[in-house]
Amino acid sequence: MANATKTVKSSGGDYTSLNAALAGQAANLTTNCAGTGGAGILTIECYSMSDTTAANTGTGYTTSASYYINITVPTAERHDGKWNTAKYRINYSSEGGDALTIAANYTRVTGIQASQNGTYKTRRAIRSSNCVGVILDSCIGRIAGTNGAESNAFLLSSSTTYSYKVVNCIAINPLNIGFSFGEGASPTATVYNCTAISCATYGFYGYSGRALLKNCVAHSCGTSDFNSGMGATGSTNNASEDGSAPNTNEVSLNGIDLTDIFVDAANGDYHLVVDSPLINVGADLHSDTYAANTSLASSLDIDGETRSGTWDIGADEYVSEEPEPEVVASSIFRGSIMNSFIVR
Amino acid sequence: MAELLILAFDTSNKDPAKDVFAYKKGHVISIQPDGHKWGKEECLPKFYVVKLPKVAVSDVEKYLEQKIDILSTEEERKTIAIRKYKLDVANLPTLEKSTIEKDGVLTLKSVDDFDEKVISG
Repeated sequence: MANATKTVKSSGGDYTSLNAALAGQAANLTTNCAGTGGAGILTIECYSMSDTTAANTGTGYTTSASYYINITVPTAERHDGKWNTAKYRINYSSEGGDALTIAANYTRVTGIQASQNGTYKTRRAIRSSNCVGVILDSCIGRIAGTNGAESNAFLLSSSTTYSYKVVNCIAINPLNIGFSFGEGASPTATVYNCTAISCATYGFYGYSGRALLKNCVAHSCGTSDFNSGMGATGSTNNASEDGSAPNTNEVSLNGIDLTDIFVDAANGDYHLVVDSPLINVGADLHSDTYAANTSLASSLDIDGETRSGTWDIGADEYVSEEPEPEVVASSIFRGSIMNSFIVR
Repeated sequence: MAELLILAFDTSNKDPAKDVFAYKKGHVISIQPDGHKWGKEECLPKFYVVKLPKVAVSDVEKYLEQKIDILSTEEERKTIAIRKYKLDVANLPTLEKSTIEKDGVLTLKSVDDFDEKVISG
């Protein structure tokens, strides 16, 4: 195997935009990854910066389930589970268009923040069409700017067979849909532990029975938190304010304010508060078939903290911040020195 | 005031319907302000850099646009190719062609000078 890693940095890296890395490395990864002459996985590491160029894999790649594009953000360069202006982010401010477009099968994207800040009504933060095997993990998609009445933070669509995994992701979209899924075989998308709050229309939208939803949460969306009938058989442990969460084990958030669920929902911080009703009501998905090759298989949440016990719903797992034990050392002289340590 | 990163090779997809969404030689990939320090691989053999020291970034951003079906409605804006424009490297004047292919960098004086070297993508 001839795996290769390329870096995207504001200075000192191989590329200064993700789009340049994607265009410059386009090739048949099953025969010649990054000019190595062998099949390999192309990893593109993105470091802290504001990347103002829209990124598009284009269709110039040949990939497979074993040899694919792996776009990732090293942990130290990655957001902390909320929009972070000090970490790597695609900040695309053209009138229309999409901030990140995935057109290559089996592409994996981990830890990216993407924002479309334009003014046209139809635009997306993260979009993919007609692809199979695409994984979006621990990403934040945001629609900012004005208008955007037909804009989705995440749009994964097709008219034929395709498949997507979306895990530990957050949609920030006050203008339209958080996560939107198109037609295709059922399920076309597996959507686990994702969060969509205060979307202008839907938090999660899709064709009938096409999305397998587990541990997802939507709240305060203008039309409906989840659109009716979108959940595939097997969907479970989802939470909504309006009773629209699909299938079994629904968690009702009816009558519960966002402030009693999240740290600062008004400003896009969807970490859970200590008494959040989303704590310990999710399903443990670490051995779920569709969680393979994602952070959920390692029981991690959006900011890399370990999910334990009964999982929480949404992208964040609540982890209590227990104070460091206070160690008091005292020396008592009773003929000899005796040290005693008290741990409180 | 602007520097354009331009792809120096063709990428391709064997499906003609998808090939229009593969980047081609001459497509503008990124636009940055004057003096931008490009990455280690943002040069030949993969890329050219065209410098436009008297042109604002905003005046050339249109070269990043995707091609839209003119028959689609304003609301649809159906994309039919990954780029609307490309630098016609093959038909540059002889001196400019040899300069960009040898050095990887070409400096032009005005946006008009660049416009006349661009064709439909």
